[in-house]
Amino acid sequence: MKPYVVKQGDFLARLAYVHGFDADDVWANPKNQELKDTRDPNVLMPGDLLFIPDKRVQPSKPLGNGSTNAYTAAIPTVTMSLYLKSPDGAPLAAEPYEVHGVGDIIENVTQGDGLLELEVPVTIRVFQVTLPQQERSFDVHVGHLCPTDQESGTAGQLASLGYLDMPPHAGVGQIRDDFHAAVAMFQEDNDLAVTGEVDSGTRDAIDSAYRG
Amino acid sequence: MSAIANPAIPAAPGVPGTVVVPPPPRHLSMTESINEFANQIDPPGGVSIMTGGQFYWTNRLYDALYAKYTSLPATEKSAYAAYCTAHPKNVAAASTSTLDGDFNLLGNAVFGRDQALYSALLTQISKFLAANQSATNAASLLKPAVKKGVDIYTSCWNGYFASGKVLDFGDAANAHSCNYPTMSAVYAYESGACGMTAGLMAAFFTGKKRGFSRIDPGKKKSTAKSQPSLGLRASAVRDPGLRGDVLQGVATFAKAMTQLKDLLDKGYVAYARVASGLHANDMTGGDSYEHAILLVGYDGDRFVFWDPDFSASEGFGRFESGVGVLYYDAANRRLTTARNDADLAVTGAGGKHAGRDQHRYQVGLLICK
Repeated sequence: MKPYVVKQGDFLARLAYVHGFDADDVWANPKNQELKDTRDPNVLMPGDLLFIPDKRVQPSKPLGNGSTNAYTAAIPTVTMSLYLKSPDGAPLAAEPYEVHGVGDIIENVTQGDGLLELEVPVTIRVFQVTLPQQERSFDVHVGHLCPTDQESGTAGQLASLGYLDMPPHAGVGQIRDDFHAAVAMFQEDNDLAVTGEVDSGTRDAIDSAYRG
Repeated sequence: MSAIANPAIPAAPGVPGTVVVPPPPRHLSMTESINEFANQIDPPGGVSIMTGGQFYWTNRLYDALYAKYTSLPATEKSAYAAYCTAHPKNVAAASTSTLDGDFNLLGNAVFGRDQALYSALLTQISKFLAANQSATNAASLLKPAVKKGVDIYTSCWNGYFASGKVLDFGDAANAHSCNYPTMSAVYAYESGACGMTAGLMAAFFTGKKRGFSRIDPGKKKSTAKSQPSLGLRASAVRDPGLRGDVLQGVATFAKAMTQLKDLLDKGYVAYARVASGLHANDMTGGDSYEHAILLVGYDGDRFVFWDPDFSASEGFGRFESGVGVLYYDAANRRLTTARNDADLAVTGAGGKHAGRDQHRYQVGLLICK
């Protein structure tokens, strides 16, 4: 087992596929117990230390001269679930959408509660959702949500809730003033004490709003 | 296809999350934009911030004082008339020798910045009060101000933001503030409070200030949750001719104008520092933008704005004053109330266009709110 420093966008299933290890085995390894106690394997924090096995050596495949060689790679998928809502909290039900960037364009409509759900190969880092009737589009950065007990996780949730413009690779330190303003606006909208600081009550309220 | 407020949404597999999608941007005409702005900043009940502008609290005091001096007891009025007959007045001929008439002049002297008349009337009425101790109602109108103008301005607006209610100077609880020295102090501050008031109203309009409800999400002004940067700066071009100083935008002016239109469509308003024609010919640099206005909508290359100095702009649509139109001249990189080159001339008194009853504003700096 060797230490691996988690980067932005990493999550266990993706790392398992890319590095060729079994996700359950690695997560259950005693060396990862501390990480397991504090993190969701799908929501890791850049800088976290994950112990992973040395890369498996793939058995060689024979190639025949002058022949056609076909190989199939089975890429695992993960489920992405997004509840689309209007600013007043009403679900965008039966809303037509298109998803670009995951292979063929996916066309569908949201469910009654505004849910847009799809399976995404673990290798996909970003896909685009367009809502033709709303004349809106946005990029979903897979694995970019940080743990919600961290400021960066709260910032990501506030971005998703429409309170914060957050460039995909920005840290909270780079948008400190905007972050506090967004927290204050959320507090104001939710009848919380407006301090601009993330106390436990505010964090829970943001998390609750984000999870719908 | 427009991006939503934040086009980059971080998400995690297996963790359901909410994405708030604002309504699509839509362009409102200038008439629709200014009406929506007015409807938002002027709550029901005839508060009239739109037409009070930066002199809002002075106006409120003026009205409250009017109500007080017109209802002064007859005994105090007749005593004043007798006093004026017995004691020659050192006051301008406009003085009426009636108590409510002179109080009326006193209020007008504040608005007219006529310090000499204000002082003379104050002296005259004070002498009368010293000789007539029973004139307590009249005396209450001259009790000295207890706060600075800025403190009164700030506390009045903060009180409004916190409660949604306008301070009633005519109420007995606020009698200590309902006097001419207070009005004079507030006016002195409000005279230079164009930028402060424009900023407050921008915050009010976009729903960022405590005490105000957010704008109906279904309407245009719903998506502005943070302040984007918008660089627009003009440099002064010295033209000592009839036009006075004329500003010309820097090379990125056109790009900034495109951004401005996009942001107005998204529900922002734009805070603009302007050079008014008031100081034509005496500007020495690019930072002499002595007034502030708010741009709230556009049609093509015309932009409608709210003017905190409500008497300086000619009006638009249903507004007889307090609102004006700026014209974008792409060729010369100018955004001004002048419709063309000939209209740039400042020939009217007080920095106004020739034949037009408004200041000739030139935008020098824009910030989106």
